[in-house]
Amino acid sequence: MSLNDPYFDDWVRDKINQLEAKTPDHLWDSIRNSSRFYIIVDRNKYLLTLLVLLMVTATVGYWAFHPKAPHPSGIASTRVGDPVIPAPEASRKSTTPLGGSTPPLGSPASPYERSATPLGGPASPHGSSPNESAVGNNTTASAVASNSVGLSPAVGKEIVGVPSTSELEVISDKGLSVTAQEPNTTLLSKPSLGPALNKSAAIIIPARIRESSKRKIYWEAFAGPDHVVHYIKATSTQYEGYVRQVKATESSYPSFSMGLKADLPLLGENWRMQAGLRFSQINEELNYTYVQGNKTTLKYSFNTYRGLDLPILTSYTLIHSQQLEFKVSGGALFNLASWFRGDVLDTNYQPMALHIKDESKGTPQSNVWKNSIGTSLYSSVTLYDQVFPKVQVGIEPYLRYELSPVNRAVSVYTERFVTTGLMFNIRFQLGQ
Amino acid sequence: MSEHQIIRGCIEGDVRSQRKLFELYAGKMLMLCLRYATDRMEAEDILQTGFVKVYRHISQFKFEGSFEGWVRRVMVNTALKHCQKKRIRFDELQPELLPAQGVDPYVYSHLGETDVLHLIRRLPEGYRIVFNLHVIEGYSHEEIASMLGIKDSTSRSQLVKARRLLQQSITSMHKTTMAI
Repeated sequence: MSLNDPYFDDWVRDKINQLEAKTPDHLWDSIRNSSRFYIIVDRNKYLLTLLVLLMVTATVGYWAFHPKAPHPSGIASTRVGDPVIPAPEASRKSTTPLGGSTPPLGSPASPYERSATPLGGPASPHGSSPNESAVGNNTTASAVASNSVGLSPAVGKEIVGVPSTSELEVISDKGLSVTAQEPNTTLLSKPSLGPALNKSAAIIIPARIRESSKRKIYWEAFAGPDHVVHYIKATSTQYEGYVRQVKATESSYPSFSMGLKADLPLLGENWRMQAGLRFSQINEELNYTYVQGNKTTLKYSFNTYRGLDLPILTSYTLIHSQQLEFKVSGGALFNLASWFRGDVLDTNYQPMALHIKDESKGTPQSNVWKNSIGTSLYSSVTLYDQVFPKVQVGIEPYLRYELSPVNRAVSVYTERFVTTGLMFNIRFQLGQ
Repeated sequence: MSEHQIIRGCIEGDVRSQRKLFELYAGKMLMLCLRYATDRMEAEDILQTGFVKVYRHISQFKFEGSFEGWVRRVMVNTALKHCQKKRIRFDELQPELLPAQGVDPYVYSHLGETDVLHLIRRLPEGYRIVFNLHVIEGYSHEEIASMLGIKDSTSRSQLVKARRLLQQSITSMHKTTMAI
């Protein structure tokens, strides 16, 4: 018994292959709507990945470190250098008994006077007058501590860091709780300010002093991997086939950037600017078939596109705490020099060096590729973490868009790079 | 607009080119989907998913070989994925149930294309898929086995059963037509 029937199979195939079904009108609309979404996602997958990364970084940063972020457990965020203390003790230190001598809330007195309300102050058995309470000097850190009489001994001998807060909770003798708004004060530990201060419960840093802490100067080093998207476009329709071949031979390879920049205060307490030097290297592999006479060989070239840029960036700090800083940055990278190495295929699909050697000058000269690619736009977000008193480390996802192609107009195609990457930063504070 | 220009346009995301591509192949591909699906609604679902895949991955077409063949492969793979969700049942070969039966050559000339399609669609799912893949699309049993995750012998047995059942159906349909 034969299991095959080629005549029957051919007959069925001939019958079926001629058939076409009528497609309903709505089908195109459904396909168009579905494909549009997927095509947008596919074409922007790197940008979308970067955006997701930025959003995750921002969310984690805000949720974990921002003092106003809602915490389900009610636990305040901790900071580097803050001793861990039991919660009841901490709450005692951050509360002030309401007494007759307590400055009235919303009084015309200086905000520093209000913020300097002593812990365990006037209402204590050995209560002090309001004048004895801590009054912060506007320009120095000579905040006056209050008496700590009435508090537990533990409070008097060691001041613990209290999370930066915009509110001071005030509790009356009768247990009535009142909240006083103090937007620009921070309670800090300062155990070495002398015997008088040893008794104190807290030192109040005035707002301007805290602002000045944001106006520091830093040196920042950065390095990290990049992903580069090559956009190649034919200058004429007759070269589209050639461009397709060029694209087919090229494949992206891990790239990187690194550099050094100064981070300076610009306007107010949130605006800063950065300037420095940045080196970037874009790598790609080129696999092509090289035909010479009757011999066909598979060739490989590792191409590098190097550039030195001057970044001029401005940034805005969204979150600034003792532990964390989160900022968004934008600006331009001005290319100072670019130099390339490797091969590309010419229109006859023969390898051509990215540079030709100019024998008269003895230096490599680009034949098609520019020596300077001009300006690029740059945007990023950065999250810094304080690891030592003057050292911060950070991560910085970024996007770089080159405004002009890397090759000259004489070429049969234009090539442009769009780079996304993740920088790892280390920032050193200068001065005090 | 040539096929080459249509493909180029689709790679660049041009909607007019996508529409042209749809008009060019939708009819043929819907027929392909109808052979794998149990009803027209399911076939349209497969066609929609298949075209979305074509538009998304058209840049992977290397301009080597037939573009229609490439689109057809995408559609077949989409149809198979769709069918595999339903867990295709491949019955074991029981040759005694289906005796070998040739078709009178006279019958062939009197049977229309739509009749053949109708009979193929009435085959049990396992038979139908293997018959389509081997006879219409031209895949080997080894390829079918790897595509469906079955043994070569299962693919062969399904084909033999499908062919015999189809021949039986053709003969009985012809007899009924003649009686009327």
